[in-house]
Formats: sequence, C-alpha cells, structure tokens
Amino acid sequence: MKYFFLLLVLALLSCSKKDQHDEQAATTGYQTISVTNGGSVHGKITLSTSQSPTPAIETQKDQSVCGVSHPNPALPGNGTGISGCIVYIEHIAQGKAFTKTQPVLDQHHCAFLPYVQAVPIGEKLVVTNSDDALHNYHILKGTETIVNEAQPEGAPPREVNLSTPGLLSIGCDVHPWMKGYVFVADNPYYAVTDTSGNFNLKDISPGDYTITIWRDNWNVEQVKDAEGRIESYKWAPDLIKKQQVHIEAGKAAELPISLP
Amino acid sequence: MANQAPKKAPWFRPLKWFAYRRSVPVEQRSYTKIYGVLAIMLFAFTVWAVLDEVLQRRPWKDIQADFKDFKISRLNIERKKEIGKIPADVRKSVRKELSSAKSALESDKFTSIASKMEDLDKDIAKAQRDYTFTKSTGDEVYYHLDEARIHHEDTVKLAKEYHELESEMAKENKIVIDLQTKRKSLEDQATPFQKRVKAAQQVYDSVFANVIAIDRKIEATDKMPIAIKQTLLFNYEKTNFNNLKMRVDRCESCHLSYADPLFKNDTLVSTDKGEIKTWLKNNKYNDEHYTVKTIGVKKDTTVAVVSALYRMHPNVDLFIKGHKVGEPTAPGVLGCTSCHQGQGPSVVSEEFAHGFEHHWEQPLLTGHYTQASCQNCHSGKFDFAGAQYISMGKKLFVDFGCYGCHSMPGMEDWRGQGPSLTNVSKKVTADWMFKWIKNPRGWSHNTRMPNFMFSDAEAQAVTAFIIDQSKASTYVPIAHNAGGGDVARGKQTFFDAGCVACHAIDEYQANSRVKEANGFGPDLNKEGSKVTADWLFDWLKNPKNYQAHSRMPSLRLTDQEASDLTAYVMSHTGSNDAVTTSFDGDLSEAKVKTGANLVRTYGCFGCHEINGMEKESKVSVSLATFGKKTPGELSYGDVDEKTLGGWRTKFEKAGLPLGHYDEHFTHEYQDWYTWTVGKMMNSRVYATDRLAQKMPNFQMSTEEAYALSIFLKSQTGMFVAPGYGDLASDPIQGNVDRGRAFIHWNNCTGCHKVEGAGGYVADAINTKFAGDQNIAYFPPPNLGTEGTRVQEGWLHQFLSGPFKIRPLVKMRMPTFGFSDVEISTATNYFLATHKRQLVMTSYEYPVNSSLVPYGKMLFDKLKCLSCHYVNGSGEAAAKAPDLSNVKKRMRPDWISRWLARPDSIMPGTPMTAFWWASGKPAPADPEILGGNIQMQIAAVKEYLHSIGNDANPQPTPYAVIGGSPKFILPNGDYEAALARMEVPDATTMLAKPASTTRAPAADVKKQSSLVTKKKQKLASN
Amino acid sequence: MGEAFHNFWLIVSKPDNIPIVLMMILISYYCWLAYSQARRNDRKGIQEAQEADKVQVWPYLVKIEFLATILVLIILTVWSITINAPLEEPANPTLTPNPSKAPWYFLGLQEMLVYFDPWIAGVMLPTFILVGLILIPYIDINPKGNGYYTFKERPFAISVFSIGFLILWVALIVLGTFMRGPGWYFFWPWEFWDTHRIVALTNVDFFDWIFGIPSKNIDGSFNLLQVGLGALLVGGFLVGVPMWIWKKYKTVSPILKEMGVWKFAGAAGLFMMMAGLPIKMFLRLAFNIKYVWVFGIGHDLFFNI
Repeated sequence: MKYFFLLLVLALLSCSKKDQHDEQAATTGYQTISVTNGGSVHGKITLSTSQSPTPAIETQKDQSVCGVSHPNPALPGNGTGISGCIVYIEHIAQGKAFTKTQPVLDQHHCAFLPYVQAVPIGEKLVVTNSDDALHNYHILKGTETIVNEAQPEGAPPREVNLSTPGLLSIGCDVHPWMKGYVFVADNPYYAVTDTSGNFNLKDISPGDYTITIWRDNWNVEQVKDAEGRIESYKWAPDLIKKQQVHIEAGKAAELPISLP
Repeated sequence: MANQAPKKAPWFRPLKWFAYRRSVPVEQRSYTKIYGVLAIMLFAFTVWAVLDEVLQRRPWKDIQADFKDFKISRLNIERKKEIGKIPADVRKSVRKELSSAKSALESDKFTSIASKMEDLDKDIAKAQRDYTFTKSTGDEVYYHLDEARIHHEDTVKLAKEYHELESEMAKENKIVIDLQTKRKSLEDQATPFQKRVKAAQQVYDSVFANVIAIDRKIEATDKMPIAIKQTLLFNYEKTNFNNLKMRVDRCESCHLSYADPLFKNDTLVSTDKGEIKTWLKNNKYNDEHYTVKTIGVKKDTTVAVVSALYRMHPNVDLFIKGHKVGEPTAPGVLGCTSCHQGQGPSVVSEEFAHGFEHHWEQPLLTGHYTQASCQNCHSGKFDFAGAQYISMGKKLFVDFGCYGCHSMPGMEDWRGQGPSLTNVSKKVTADWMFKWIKNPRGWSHNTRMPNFMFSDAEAQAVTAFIIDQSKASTYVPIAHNAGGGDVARGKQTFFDAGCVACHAIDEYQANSRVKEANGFGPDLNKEGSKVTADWLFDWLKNPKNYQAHSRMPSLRLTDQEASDLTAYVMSHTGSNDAVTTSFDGDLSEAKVKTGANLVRTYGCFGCHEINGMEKESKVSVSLATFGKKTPGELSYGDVDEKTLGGWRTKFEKAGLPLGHYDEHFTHEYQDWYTWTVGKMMNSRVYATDRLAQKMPNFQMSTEEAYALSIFLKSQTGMFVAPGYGDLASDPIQGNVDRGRAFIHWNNCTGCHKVEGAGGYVADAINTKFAGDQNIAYFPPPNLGTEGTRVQEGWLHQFLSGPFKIRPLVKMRMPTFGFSDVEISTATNYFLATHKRQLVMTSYEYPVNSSLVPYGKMLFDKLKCLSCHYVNGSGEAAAKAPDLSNVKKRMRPDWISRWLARPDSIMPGTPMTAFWWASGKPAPADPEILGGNIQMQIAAVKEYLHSIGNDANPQPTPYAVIGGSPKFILPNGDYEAALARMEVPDATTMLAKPASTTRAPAADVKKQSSLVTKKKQKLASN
Repeated sequence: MGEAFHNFWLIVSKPDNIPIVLMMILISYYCWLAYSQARRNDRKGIQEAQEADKVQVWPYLVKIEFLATILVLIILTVWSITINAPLEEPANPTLTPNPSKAPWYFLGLQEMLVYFDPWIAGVMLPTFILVGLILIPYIDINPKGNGYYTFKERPFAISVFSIGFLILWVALIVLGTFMRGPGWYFFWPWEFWDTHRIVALTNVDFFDWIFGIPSKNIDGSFNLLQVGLGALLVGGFLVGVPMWIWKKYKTVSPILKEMGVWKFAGAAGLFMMMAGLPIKMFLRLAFNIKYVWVFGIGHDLFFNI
C-alpha cells in the first residue's frame, strides 16, 4: 500500500517537474489555467496592394547544390490570402495550456525549411542539413546573436534551445541569401497562416486583446559591385500590424486583416 | 510693613511662601521638603538620562525591529507564491501522507509496542547493572586472589569465592541477552511505522524544498540580533596630519536591505492611482516605507518611490559585488561612504549619519553627485559604467580644453585641444577668423570653441594678431586637386572611408559637444565657406603637411576619392549668422600688439599653438581641490539669492537635482553646487564692476553644466589608500590609464568598441544593414580582446601603416602617423587591459608537419575559403579576413580558442562555431583524427601556420602624392614641416601617470602589507 | 526683522554660547544682590549691619550648600541630555577656522589683541592682572567692609574692582563671543556673519593724527620726535599722574598716609595700567588710533602702545 503511494507521489512530482511550460510560466509569467467556455478569433489575412512580383534570388556560390537562382521563399498564398504570417496575442497573463510540438528546421537546396514557423517557448528546435554543402545556422534576435553553429554536409541533426521569446531570424554566413524565421511564443495563442492566409486562435478567456500580425517582406534588392559580384542582399522592412479584438465567452470573433 | 511678620502661605504661592520662610529664623527653617523634592527630581532626571541614552540615541534599534517585521511579512508573500507553484493535488497528497504517517504513530498498536519497549529498556538497564557490579566485585576478588598467590598465602577461600562470582556473571549476562533479543523482535514490529514517516518526510521535504528554505530565512530574520552592523576599512584614509587611519561605516545598521533581492522593485510609475495602491499593498509597503509624487507635464503620472531605508541598492552586481577590494568580507568591502560620503560611524540620527551638520566635511552626496566618487579611485577612466554624468563631465572637461587654463592633476602637460594656428592664415580668411572669434556658435551650433565676449575692437585686434603671427608660415599645398570631383560619389566615399566616424555633415549630425563619435572633428556643414578646395584636397591627402600634430589621420585616399570628397564637402556652404560686422583689414603694428596682449590675458595658447607663445603658462587657477571649496571661498558677485534659487529649481525641474547643502551660517542658496552650475552656464555671471572675469563663456546646457559640476565635485585631492583603487603607480594600471587617455584623444571609440564603450560607426553599420546580408560593410572590430588576439609585433606594424585585412570591406583603418611612443602606448594599453605588460615575443615555432595534412583536410571540408581568402585567392563572396598572414598576425593560443568558440570571444561575430554543436563541444568531423576536438583544432592551426607568409605586407605609405609614396618620419618628408613648429610631441600628454595625488610605489608595498597584517589580526581575534 | 532675529537667534542659541548667556544672567543677578544689600546696609548704618545675627556654618550653611549641589547636578544633567556637545571640524594644520576663537573665558584677552601688540595683550597685561590680584591683600589694608556688604564705606575700591571685572573682563568676553565674526570684524548681534565682509582699515598713530607727526621716517627708522613725545605721554600717564596725586594728597588723605609710598606706587601703577586699556580702546574705536607710542629696539623688540 505505502509503496504504491510513494510511487504515486514520485509520479506526480516527475510530471510537475518535467513540464517545461510550468517552468517557463515561472519565468515568462504566463500561468496555465483551465479555460472553460472561452471565445476564439479567426480571420483571413489579405494584401491590400496588388502583390508585387517576387524576384528570384541569385546565388553565386555552391551552385551545384543551391542552383543558379532561388524562387523567393516568402511566397504569397494562393488567392488573395497570404501564407506565412504570424498571428499572436501579446501580454496575455493566463489561459490554456501549451500544446507540445516538435519544431524542425531543415537546410535544403540552400534554403531554410520551413521558411516561417512559430513554436512555444522552451521547445528544442531540431536543425538538419540535407544539402551536400556546409551551412551554418546563425540565429539572431534583432542584431544579437543567439546561436551560430556550423553544420557540414552529413553532420548529425542539431538541437537549439528556444528559451528567448520573440521573433528569431536565421541566416547563413556561407550563403548570404538564406533566410528563415522562428517565432518563439511565450503564450499558446499564436498561429501561422495557412496557404490561403487563414488563422484561428481558440480558447481565449473573454476580454480585450491586442493581436499582432507579422509578415516578412518578400522584396529583396540585390546590390552588385563593379565585377557583378553581389555586394549585399537588402530585404525591405517587415510588415507589422496590431489590431484590437474583443473576445466574448463562447463566441467566435471574425477579424479580417489586410496588409500592410 | 517690615515689622509685621508675613503669614504662612502654601507652596503654590511661592512669593508669599518665600517671604514667610525668610521671616523664620534660619535655625528653625526646615529643609526636608526641599531636599525631598530635589532628591526626587535628581532621581527622575538620572532615569531620564539612562532612557535617553538607551532609547532616544539609538534610533537604529527601532529601525531594525521594524525591518524584521517588514521583511518577515515580505517573506511570507514569497512563501505563498512558492506554495502556489506546487500543484494543489501534489501538495494535498504529500501533506496527507505525512500527517497520516505521523498519526499512525499514535495508534494503539504502535503505542503498546512502544510502551513494551520502554519497560524492556528499563529491565535491560537493570540487568546490565547487576552484571557490571558482579563483574567489578569479581575483579576485586581476583586481585586479592592474585596478591595471595604472590605472597604464598591461603588462596582456597578466595578462589572459591571468585568462581561463584564467575558463574553468577554468566547467569546475569544470559538474562541481558534474552531481554535484548526480546527487544529486537519488538523493534521489527515498530520499524514499518517509522520507515513510513521517514519516507513521507523525505517526499515532503523535496516537494516543499523552496518553502522550507523560505521558512529558514524567516527564522533567521526573526533571530537576527539587534546590533550595530559595520564595515571596517583598514588604512583607508589619511588624517589631516597625514597618518593612515581606519574608516568605519555603520550605514548598514539602518540600511539593512541594501543587498537583499527581496527588496528589488523599489519604484512604480503609473498613470493609474489604483495600480499604485495595490502594488504598495501587495508589497506590504506602509506609509513610512515610501513617498508618492506626481510627475509629468499633465501631472497625471504617479510615482511611488520606496525610501532608501527599505530599498535594495541599484545594480548590486556592479556597485557592491563589483567593488570588493582584496579578499571580500561581507558586506561590500568598500563600505558605503567611499562613494556616498556622509558620517560613517554615526548612528545617532539620520542627519548626523548623513553628515548634514555644519562641521562635517564630507556630507552625503545626493542626486547624481554620488558619481563624483568614481573619479577618486578610477582617475584614469573616461567611460564609467553606470555613471553617465561623471563620464560626460570628465570628457567635457578634457574636450573643452579646461586644462589649458586650469592646471589639473594628470593633465598638466597635455596638448591643447584646439587646432594649431601657426599656419592658419593659409587656411581661412581674416574675415572668417574675425567672425569666428566674435561668436563661434554663430558658425557652428555645437562647437567647443567658447565665446570670449570680445567687443568688436578687441576681436579686430585679436584677429589681426592671429593673422599676423601666421604670416610667416611656409606652408604650401603639396598635393594638387586635378578637379573632376563628383558630389554624389563624394557623399558615398564620406561614409565608405569612415569620415562619418569623426565629422558631422548632412544626415550625420552631432548631438553632443563631447569629443566623441562624429562630434569629434569639426562640424563640416559650412566647411565650403571656410576653406579653399586646394587646401582641403591637400589636407585630405596628407593632413600632416598642414599641421604636424593634427589628429586628422590620412585615409590613404586616391586622388579620385580625395577630389570627390573635396567636391562634396565644398558643396556645404554657410555663414556666421550671429556676426554682422566684418574684419577691417587693418594689420597695423599697434593693433597687432593689443591683440597679442589680449591673447596673453585670455590665454588662447592654452588650447592653440601660436607662434611665439609656446612657453606661456596657464592663465588660471588650479582646480585640483576645487570640489572641497567652501561657500566662503567662492564669490557670488552681484547674484542675489533669488537668482541662485531660480537655478536650483531649474535644475530640479530638468531632473538634474543639485546636491544637498548646509544652510547653517551661509546665505540661502549660496552653496557650492549652485555656484558651480551657475558659472558653467554663464562663466561671467559672478563678475562685478570691481571684479572682472576672464573665463570665456562655453554657454553650457543644463546637462553639460550638471555633468561638469559633478566632475568638478570629484576634485577633492582625496588620498586613495593602496589596495583601494587604481593606483597610477602600478605599472599595468599606469598603462591602462595612459591608454584610455590615448583612446579618447584619438577617438578610437568613434569606430571601435573599446572596453565595452563606443563603437559608433560599428553601431551605425549594424543598424544601417540590420537584417541585410552585406559583404562590403563590416563593423570595425571590437578591440576588447585585442590584447589577447594579435601579436605585439604585428600590432606595432599595423598601427604604423595599416593594411587591408578584409579584402572586400570598404571601410578602412586610417593611417594616423603615430609616433613609436604613441604606438607602444596603444600596444601597452591593449595588453594591460588583460593585466599583461609588453614583452616582445616571437611567436615563431616549428610547424608540426604531421598535423598539417589533416589541417588541410578540415580546412577544405569546413569550406573556410567560402568566406576567407588566402593571398587574395578564394571563391569568397564574404567579408572574412585574409588568412595568408595569420602566422604573423594572430597569437597561436588565441587561434585555438577562437576556432573552438568564436562567439564566446566576440559575441555576434559571423565566424561560425565548427567545434560546437547543440550548445556543447563537438568534433567538426567524426572521422578526421578520430574526432578529437583538440587535435582537429590544433591541426587547422598548424595548417594556417604552414600557409602563412613569413613577412607581413609592407606598411602602406602615409599618403601617395603624385604617384610618389610619402612616409612619416623617419623617412623625413615632413622633417621640414615639423621643424617649422617647435611643439612637444603629442605623446607627452601620455608620457606621465594619470594622477599625482597617489602614493608612490614604495610605500604602496609597505602599506598593503600592513593592510593584510591588520586583516590577519582581525581574523585571528 | 525676521532675518535680524534669525541671525540673533543663530548666535545666542549656539551651544558654545549658552554658558555666556547664563553668565550674563547670573552675574547681573549677583551684582544686583550685592549692591542692593550694600544699599540696605548703608542705609541702616554699619553698626546694625555688623550686629545682624549670625549663624553657625555647620550645619546651617552646609545644609544649604548641599542642596545647592544637588540643584546644580540636576541642571547639568538636563543640560547634557538636551544639548549635544558642540564639536567643530577636524583639526587641520593647513586650514584655520574663521573666526578662530579662544575658549570663552579667554575671549577678553583675545579682544585686547585688537588694541595692543600680541606681546603686550597676550603676555604683559595678563601677567599684571595676575600679579595685581595676588597683591590685593597686601595693597588693600582697609579693614572696612569685611563680612558685610557696603558701598558707602569704600566707593573707590569697589567701583574700581567692579569696572575691572564687569567691563574689562565680562563685557569683553560677551563682546568677543557675540560680536566678533569672521576676520574678527565687529558684527552687531542681529547682523549676518558674512565671510566676504570688508571693513575699511584707516588706523593712524596718535601723534600722526593729532600733530601730523609720522611715527617713522621714510627710510623706516623711528621718528625720534614721535618717540620722545610718546615717551613723555606714556611715562606721564603711568608715572607722572600717580606722583602728582601722591604729592598733593599724601598729607591730606589718611589712607595714603597709611599706605606709604611703595604700596601706593604699586597700586597706582596697576590702576593706571588698568585705566589705560579702556582709554586705548576708546581712542581706537572712536578715532582709529593705532598706536600712541611707536618705539622699538633693534629688529625684534618692539614697544608699540
């Protein structure tokens, strides 16, 4: 009887300790509660201006692996909706529990796949290199380097701890055109729009919230010097939009957003 | 009247009573009552004295008592939080099990066992005693038996007795053993109960670990003895009679929470009063804990500030932990008064403790004036972490060239700040000069040249003299502008060549008068109307031609670049808006003479080189101990109290509170602080019709004035005891100080980050190309690790004639034309920041040829050439350095560390970590050299050495003019130019220790040994 | 007004000055006591005063003295509780406090420094004060007034002593305490002690002032005429006047007869010297007279009065 009990306690302990999100809660201040009869918000993100053509990026290195040029990874979604937007609620104190995910970042044909992804804080990002070339994933938050590790061809998958919340941009110093984004969310109310630009945030306890929409801007300018060598890849600034939304219990709010 | 006797009267009508009493003959007067009263009074007052001594004069006792309760209440909040973190169900079950386990101990089953065991224990004890007694009797009998044997007496009786006792013993021993076995069986029945409790307790402890920790804290706080807490600083300061003496700080007797994270959040700013209320409530702050004020233009913002008594010291890591001297003893070894001043030993009252009494010479420094203390120990520093105002103040003092007129410890023979005027007539027109002298700020809004408030006539005379003294100049432009400059290209070059690091123009406007970033050099927004294109071109190509000691470096510009830049800069024209009159062109001898006299009186040569005035001495007083001046020593001229008060409030409003002062025996507002800022804002404000003042007007902003006043406050000539500060007499510290001066003097921080400060161009590039991937622009390197990175020899060569390291990067390290002294100053500095001294070392060593092939393998496998070059060859489309002279450039040990973990040495470097994966060391390749990380790194290092050139690239010439390279001395192109101007070498300013107020090296040793001795003594007691 | 009172209060309430304030009160009280009793006695006539009943010291006086002791103890206790000991800045050999004042009981002497050279004010006069006090019992052979208060019987002795003590000692202490500020300049009690105060220095020597005879020649040597005149004046004051009195009254006054020439000479000398101080003070304060007689021997022995 008592041994059974001890086991039980240890079991409880283990799960309470293992659960990173609770640990995170301690640091980020987000507290998990059970949301009953919460509301939700969904919508479609469209582009107000007519979509500009997305120039292909010219590669000048490892062309055997990377190809001569790349279609811009930040493709707009089909129809008018735009894919790859990150939609999230800022400063939300408490709510539903995180859903565990297994984020992966692959370097394939000198591009980061997926191009944009959002993951809960505290997860481990698994980085793989399926190219026959050396890459390095240089992860920055703003201008501050988080990780910068090389991954030669055939190197085993690597793990990156995503412990700082916010938008991380990934680059490769060997192939300057490579670009990717990981959004580290400190609360579970986030989404990446699907190919038709739709998103849906569920189980939000009623109240007023600010919803932030982020989208990488796909326009890249390739500056060449006298010898035709590409001196710099200039990306136009990202698109960011904030919108207020009022969530009522049990109701689904509609929030159509048009960028920029 | 007199003869009729007064009547008896009660005591409460004293006069009558007294009159009656006097009428009674002395012999009959009774003194008992009076005696009684007096005795009682004396007793009462004695009691009062004791109480006063014990309570009244020990306010810290109450404070400590209150603090205990306060802290405990705070801890209880924490406790709740911790408990909240444990999932409720866990909490419940753990508690439940523990209690039930304990209650099981009360069950009849267990109690009966327990009682039985008790009885048994009694029996066992009894039995054991019987046994031991019998045994000892036996021993005694045996002794007699033995004796009997020896003396051949009759042993039979004794022997018999002894044997009986032996058998007795055996019996009793058996009883004991039986009882013990009985007990054992009972124990077996009891153990499960106890085991369970133990287990439950363990689980409870592990689950509630944090809570229990807090409980311990609470207990400790509760047990904290109410006593004086003090820090002793041995041999810390000197008495007025020059003896070393100890300093005692008892501040922490009242400021108990200064290092307690529990009291971290000490202010709340909010527009919502309710929020403030709840915040105070949640933190258990009550009325005497905090002050609430409303701020903001609309007075709608409320700030709740916790009083310093209940607050944690800001940035403890830097200011307290970071300031431990010698072996740290709790609390901060430097105590409090080292920075804050005040009367350390006093605990009688707040006023006394803070030194706010008439005769205490170092009252508490309030507001930002605490920063003044930084200077005492770090006299060589220019950037004080966490103390912006002293940093700014000190830089302003240097950059305004104050030391040109006021002598200042450590700056006695620094070169003046202003440009040389020996050739000036070849550069600007007399009219420009006149307007400039008349009102410099009319020309450039943030020039450092002060306004001497000359009358037109005076300005005319001075101009005449300046022009006249430089008429003899033999300066001629050597380089000639072919023309064909393009403004747009010039603009680009202005950025690419790094001119933006020092000069303000167009979108790069300087916003501070500190000689830093692009506020360093002259503002070029009107340059086109000041100088001629020819002069500018020659200047750009080789500045030392015009001015041998200019800080303007050669950027090794091609003629094309130079003429582009010339076109660009010349396209910026303007006029001196503030001056309408113009120079009359009269250069008559008389006028020149008056001009010369004016120049002598106002000491222009303090900042500028002027022909024939090289030997003049400083025109004004020393400021070495200005910070200690008393109001009596300062003259307030005709400024009345109202004005002074106005200044005080002005600064108060600007958020720059002036220091607290002692009103006792001085007029209101006649205090050091107000006087100083007043003088800074308008240097002639205290002049009267009797008392003329010479100091020119720098027209400082409130912030500048404030910062400077803080620096001046630091000028106390305070003695810094050995072991308590940066001693200039320590060779390494000396190098650091000289280096810091050198860095500031040459604006290295304009491009580079040094000691974590500066790096403005670097930042500019980072922000300009943020998010982009660019190859042509790379931020100038952070020099924080230079001393461990490159070889001394290489550094020397590089500084004397820089050469390209990153082939594709456009911005270039300029050629400053440093003298050898300057170069070694820099080299020594970089080494000294790593506590090392310059030892000329050869880093040559025989390459381990067996490793080289593996190195090559890795070199190729890791695609080093996809970013780096070797001898300019490589597929690189990246900004990485050329590896061809690594052998001569890098310290081998550094290469290994760098390869192992670049970002740990230089955060944010694009150099990627090859031997680092998933946040831990990993081989770059599993096969090569058996995947041994050290071996692999060594191999690459060896390979790099094997490919390295034996010779460095030749130093680039200082300038190339008309195709012919020009080198600085000793090649001698400029000996003539130098001969023209007999001025001391720029480095004399660097050639001496930073401070003269320090103890010489000799008694440093003596005293420091003394310190340690004292400490040991203390420890032993 | 408020300002004035503030300044006044600053000075009076200064812990160092409290004893002086008390001293003023006590002394005026005791003087009043003594003089009023003297008046009563003089009215009653000396016989009565002498025959007034007397009591034993033990126990009657001792009793009262004991009570007085207790009272003083009480006062001291309260005083020490309520007022902290007035400390000043740490001693500093390179920095003299301004004003730097002697302990209160020497302020009278310090005040004399204003009117005389240090060696006169600081050495000679104090010595004569001590000597004079020691000599009193030998000089004063008049038995009257022993054991009872009187004025009528010896107006001269009493007034001389009162002036000497009250004016030349107590008053000077008060002056030095309350009215000597920074730079030892004179401040009224309601004036602010301004360290920047400037006072005109226009002192001249006596004969320069009165006849325009300079004390020194251009070459710095002493003007003999002045030396001569000064010698006459000072000598006449210190010696001549007493001699004249002696000649005139030795036959008339019984007291002089009794004293004899030597006692008289001593007493008169001391008296004239004492009288000299207020005269010099008056000359200085009223007419800015620096010295009456400037004279010296060699380079270090100066005799400036």
